[in-house]
Amino acid sequence: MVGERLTRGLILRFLISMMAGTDMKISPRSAEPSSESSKAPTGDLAKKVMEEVRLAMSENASVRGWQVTESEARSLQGLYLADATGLSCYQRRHVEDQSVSLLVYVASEDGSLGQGQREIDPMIAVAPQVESAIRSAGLIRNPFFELPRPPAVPYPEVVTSDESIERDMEGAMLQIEERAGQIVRDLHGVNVNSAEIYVNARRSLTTTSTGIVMDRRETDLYFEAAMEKTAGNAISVEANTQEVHRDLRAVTCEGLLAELPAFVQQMREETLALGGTILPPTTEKAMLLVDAGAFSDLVRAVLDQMDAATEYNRLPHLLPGAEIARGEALPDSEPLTVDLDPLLPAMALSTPFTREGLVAQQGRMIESGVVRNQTISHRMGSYLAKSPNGLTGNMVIPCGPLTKEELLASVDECIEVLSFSSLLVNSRSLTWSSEIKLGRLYRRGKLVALVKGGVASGDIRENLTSARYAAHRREFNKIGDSWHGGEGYLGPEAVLLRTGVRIAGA
Amino acid sequence: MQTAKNVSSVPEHQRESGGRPPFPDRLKPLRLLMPELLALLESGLEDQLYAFVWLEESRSLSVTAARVESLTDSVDRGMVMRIFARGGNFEEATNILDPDHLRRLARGLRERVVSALSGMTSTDPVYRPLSIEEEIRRGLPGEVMAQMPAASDSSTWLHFAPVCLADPDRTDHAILGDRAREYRGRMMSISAVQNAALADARVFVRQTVKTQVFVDRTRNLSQILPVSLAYAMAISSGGHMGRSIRGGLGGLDIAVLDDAALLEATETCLRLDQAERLKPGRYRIITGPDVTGVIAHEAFGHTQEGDTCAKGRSIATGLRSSGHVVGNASATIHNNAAIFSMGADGERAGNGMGETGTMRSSVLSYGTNGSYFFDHEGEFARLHSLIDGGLLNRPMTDLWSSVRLGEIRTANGKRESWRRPIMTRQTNTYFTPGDSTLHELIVRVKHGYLARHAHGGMEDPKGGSLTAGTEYLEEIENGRLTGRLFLGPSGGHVELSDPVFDMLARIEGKTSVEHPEGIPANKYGGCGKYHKELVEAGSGGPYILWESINCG
Repeated sequence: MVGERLTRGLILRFLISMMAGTDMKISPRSAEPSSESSKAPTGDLAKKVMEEVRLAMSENASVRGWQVTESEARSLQGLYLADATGLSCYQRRHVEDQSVSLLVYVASEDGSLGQGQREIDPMIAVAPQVESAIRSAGLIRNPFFELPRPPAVPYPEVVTSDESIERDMEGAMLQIEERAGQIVRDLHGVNVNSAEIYVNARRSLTTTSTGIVMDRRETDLYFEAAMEKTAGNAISVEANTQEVHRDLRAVTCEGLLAELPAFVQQMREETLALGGTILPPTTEKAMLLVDAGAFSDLVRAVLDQMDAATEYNRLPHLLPGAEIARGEALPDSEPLTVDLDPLLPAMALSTPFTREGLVAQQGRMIESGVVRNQTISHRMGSYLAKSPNGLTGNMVIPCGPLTKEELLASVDECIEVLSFSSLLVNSRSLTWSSEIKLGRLYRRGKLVALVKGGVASGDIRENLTSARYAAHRREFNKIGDSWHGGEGYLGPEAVLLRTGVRIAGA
Repeated sequence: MQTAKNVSSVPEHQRESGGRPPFPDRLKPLRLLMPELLALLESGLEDQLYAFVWLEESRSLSVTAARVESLTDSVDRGMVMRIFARGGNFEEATNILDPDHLRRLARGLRERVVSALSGMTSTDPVYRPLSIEEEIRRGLPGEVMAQMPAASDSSTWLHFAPVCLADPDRTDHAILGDRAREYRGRMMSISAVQNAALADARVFVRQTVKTQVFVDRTRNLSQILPVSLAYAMAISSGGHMGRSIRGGLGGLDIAVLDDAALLEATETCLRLDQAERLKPGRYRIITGPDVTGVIAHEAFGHTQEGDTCAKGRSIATGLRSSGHVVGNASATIHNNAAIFSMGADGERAGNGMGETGTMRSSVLSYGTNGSYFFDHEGEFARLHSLIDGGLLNRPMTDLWSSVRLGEIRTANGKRESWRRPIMTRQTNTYFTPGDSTLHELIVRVKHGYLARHAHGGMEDPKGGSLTAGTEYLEEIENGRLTGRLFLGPSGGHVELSDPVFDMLARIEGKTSVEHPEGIPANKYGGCGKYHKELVEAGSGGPYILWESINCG
């Protein structure tokens, strides 16, 4: 995609633990909506679109189906500088956003099935837009498949939002601002140079021609801060050449507030530990300890190859029975096991249904280093003559027997990567590479130096051959945005990669 | 099939009128409403605050030709109302564009700001925007002045648009689909002829037309920015990719992939399956315009963003005040939204460098997707020098950082969309050209590599380091390209990484360009600040020979 040539800002790594409240619910349904909660987010526009496309379908046999999604989103956004009172807002925004989109399927005489996606323009008449969408969809030629029907069983109940945010977004924003300001005000030895707080709520209602109704409510919160040592320490503010920049994301306000003090405290400790750095040594046999965020990126690339779409598209893919690891394993290696779980409460990839409206399913994807399942959508199941399975959701990985400190002490030399500059993972070649923004060099578990710069790269399958997993479990969420897909992760806080890592440094 | 033309070949009648898209009728009612909204925001309070109203519309058509085809048709239209007071921005943003609703939002925003300011005292002067006459006296780019009426006041609708050979309004899915399928078919044919294992070829063709309106107390501006793109990607069974990208600011006539581009994407992908792996280390490197541009963007692009400086998050502030040298005499980097023509990228003809070793060079009649006439806060585009011969100049600014830092405003106030906040963002960032040919640079390399295709990049504005990715490296031995390709040490892309000062001190030579104002090729691209806030941003420059860069 085009984004692959984009330049990158600073790295996103964040940690969060979620609290599942009993008052936070999603209202999944497979029947026509009836209650107040099902009130259309965008008023009559979506209704008009559905009327027009139903009419078109009744008059034109080539129109084989449609999907209408209406969305409503609200956002409060604040950008801050730190001052004596805590955080001082210099940009405050209120955002409201409504949209309706139409996906229409049109069969051609040659037996193919085209589809076209159109965002509906509320400023012009609906009928010509529906006609245009149908006409455009007719230009596309894909293999035919029957559109999915409503599932035989109801969607499971899954917590995907915080009702308190939906009810009182300003109140949630105020709570976070006050708490964050208080924490920042009480910090010693460090300056917070900037911070950002976002509170978002979205609702989308998707209806299909076959009778599927997917009603989804989502909330998320974002806190970001950049910190450096204060003047009066060994390094003056003006001469500071290092900062710690982190963000924290959550689905619920309670979850963010619970995590915030420890998050900022950890940032402070990292900031105070900053000092002179060295380039890492050049080697083709490096060992790295990476955090949960970086490791989840590597595992997600592997999971991408287990998507049946990669098989159909003839891209590199992994089928059940395939070995993930490649190369000779070192002693004490721990083979990878990965589950997907869409039902964990209030996590980024928690959902009762797949995009097509299949019931979301838990399942084991990798067991002891061997692929157990592909993720198979309804459409790819049809194309590949496989049963769709609805597997989706948050990544769950078992922990290992050793603590992070024990892992560091278990090898002669190791770099703990605190942050990559821009970890780019290629899900096709299963390789990765990045400059090291900041790391710690250990020898037999003893901190030797801070590391900055140099390029680390790896082959994921080689990395997984001799990996070891930390004993402490960590949970975090990345909320999807225009830059990244979302991720929910429950697994070891750190992973030791002992093979397949190279470093270009000193 | 139309191809990009030299500036001089654009027919006079198109340059004067027919080639510049007019302001669309559908947005006139909203534009007529905007001065009323502005009055609701600031009328009677002009001595205490400054307000503007911003309207943007983005209409996009795309087709992807691949094993599974897809098509999109989108329109996104939203408005932002801003009050800037006591050094802070307050904004309401919405896509519910009913006039009464907008009036309610404007009144509500004013009430909130007045309430927030009621307990505050400040002796800071209130921001006062320049009049159009003052802007003209300050100097404006030729393409802006060419569209400026002889006389105007704050209520005059000033409209700006680039010359388009292909009318963006005539683009439809059939045209896009035909082009995408044609390119894909040619790539698959190349693969078949070579009896090679191309897994798939994907071609994405898109046209986006952005219409933007800015109204404040001194100006009523609009601009139309059509951006066209053709993106071809070949994928091997080994998972390697070859790509070709053409596009920028203009109609579909500039989104054209010729046979050489399609052949290169296809062959490169297949060759990468057999590519060798680079031994990690330092090498002499020549970067092409694509990679050069990423280095420019990262080197002192982000570091010279005013908001980053204002937050104390940039190393540039202290370096600027101390006059610290951050590069050698060849280290000159510009940021310039007003690129509406540029030098071609000097791609090699065929497999060699040409008999004389000189590049095919010409002047392209279009800008990049990072070009515009004014920014998202109504500031006119002007060339801005970030580094001149190794010395830092003033930072780029948005309104907030300009006021906070006491720096002059530049046209760098940008947002991802009306949904997101304004930040200081780069437009087109590029190294200025030199006086060598590419052949002359290659001859100077005993052992090293040519890096032509970018693969992302990142800068640490506080720490002064940068990394720029390249898809692969082409080996140079004893002053000649050997034809051997190298992937990174682990079989993926290659990262070029060094401290910024070190890197900028190691420029050994730059190629020249054929453009009357010395503007080199700038490439289609984008930028995510702090890994979010995605905006369009071109970047480029000449081929540059670097004494050495750490590669891994």
